[in-house]
Amino acid sequence: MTTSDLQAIWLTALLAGTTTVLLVPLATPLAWWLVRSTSSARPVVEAAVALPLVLPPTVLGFYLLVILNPTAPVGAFWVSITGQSLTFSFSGLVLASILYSLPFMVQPLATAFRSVPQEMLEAASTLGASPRDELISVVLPAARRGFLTGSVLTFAHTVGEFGVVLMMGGNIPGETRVLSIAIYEHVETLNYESAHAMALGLLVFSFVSLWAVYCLTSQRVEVVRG
Amino acid sequence: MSARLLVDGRLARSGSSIDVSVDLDLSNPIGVSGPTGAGKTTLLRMIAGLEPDFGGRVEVTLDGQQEIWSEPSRGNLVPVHRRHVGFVFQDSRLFPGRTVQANLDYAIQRARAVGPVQDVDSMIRALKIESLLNQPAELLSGGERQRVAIARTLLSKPKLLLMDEPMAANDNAHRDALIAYLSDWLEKHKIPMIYVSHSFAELRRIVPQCLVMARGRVVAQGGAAEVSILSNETAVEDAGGFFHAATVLSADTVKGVLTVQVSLEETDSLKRMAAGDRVGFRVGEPASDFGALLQPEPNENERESD
Repeated sequence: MTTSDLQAIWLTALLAGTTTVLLVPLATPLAWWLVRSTSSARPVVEAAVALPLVLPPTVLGFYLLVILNPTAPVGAFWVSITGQSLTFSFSGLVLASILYSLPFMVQPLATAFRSVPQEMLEAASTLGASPRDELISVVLPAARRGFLTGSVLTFAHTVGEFGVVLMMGGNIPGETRVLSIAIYEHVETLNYESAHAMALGLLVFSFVSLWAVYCLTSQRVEVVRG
Repeated sequence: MSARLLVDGRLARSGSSIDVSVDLDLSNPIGVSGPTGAGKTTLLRMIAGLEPDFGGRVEVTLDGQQEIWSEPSRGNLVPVHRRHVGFVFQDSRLFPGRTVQANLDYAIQRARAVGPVQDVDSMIRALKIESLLNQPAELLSGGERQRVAIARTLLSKPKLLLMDEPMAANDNAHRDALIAYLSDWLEKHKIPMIYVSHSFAELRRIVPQCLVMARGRVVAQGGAAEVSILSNETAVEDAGGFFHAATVLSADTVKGVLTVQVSLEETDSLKRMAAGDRVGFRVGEPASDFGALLQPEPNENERESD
């Protein structure tokens, strides 16, 4: 395995970790809103969040490229405040990954939030808990398996990204060349040995991640001691 | 302690509705009884603010301070957590996955925002839950759960206590101890209480005044002892009218006919009564606990035409 390959593995882990860490605080209020809201806008938002599940990654990557390139208003604004372009950069990859992995964090959280009985929230409110307090003291602790599941799925999904990464980031070693891109490049250059080693590693990692998710969803809840 | 509570309005639900208009003097604890499905729990939930579809008026006066909690045109004005209503639910609603101690701490931490929480240890001992403190809530028996739920609610420093069949799952020995403790606690803290129970024997020991509900309406109101004589599930279900308790002024038997003179507050249904109307009445023990079903029973012809 070359230095460039190790760099790709490190960059992939960094991208997946950053995306997961940023998605937790972003997805939590969104999932809570989706569960509690009676707004007519809810189905629209729900559909938008789930879009990456059915959309070809290249489509999402293409539109992100159109919107975030330095000549477009949003891309130009980003350049004006940071001095760097979002396209073909690690920052751009993080943004694209957040959007692409959003349903993998939001949906387990929403499912976990929905499983908290309304009766528990009513009990908390009569004990003096405000709605925000209910969320922090009742819902979030009860939904911790949802957080674990969402985090594992988001991390694993980001590790496996290809289409969005290729469209938004290209193949810049140390900047945007992640594991899936490196495998693709090895196959293109007929370096099957390296491709096989990296692909097998990704396969095992993906399997272990999903195994962990299924273990997490079947575990008993720990008791919180006072 | 000066306390009043006004609840006036209707809550429509599919298949049933609650329609109440009561103005309660909460200087003493009030009991609520009636058959299953009468609307007792819903009445408590409306007061607590747990029924967002209730479009009526809830007005409370505690220690001379009046608050409007909900109004017909404006809905819930005061959210549940700001009403400081302690609610002991029939199904306890302890937080699962937490120990008894963690459940009590939840209430204590929030009550400290209002003021110091005292007598925690003595309450835990009195309610016989000291050996349960490290146990997960979901492993407790029904009676244990209810005792922990009572402790948790009392520790939350409520300004108004709503208790929904809080002792149903406890045996007689625990129930006696709970009633004794609750009576002392109410006496000490001067907190108004509304207490729902099917058992008039239980109500008579805790509350001097009672409401009886049936089919979503209040059908009787009076002293707990008097109302308990008048009410049973069948009678209230079949009544469709109002029971009133009465004081017997005299009772004489002449030639096999008992003539009873009673003192009753004049009501519309009373005004409609005439000689020859049939009325239902029950005489309790002692006999001075007399009550009459004031709405005349339909005569045979009316009964057939229904």
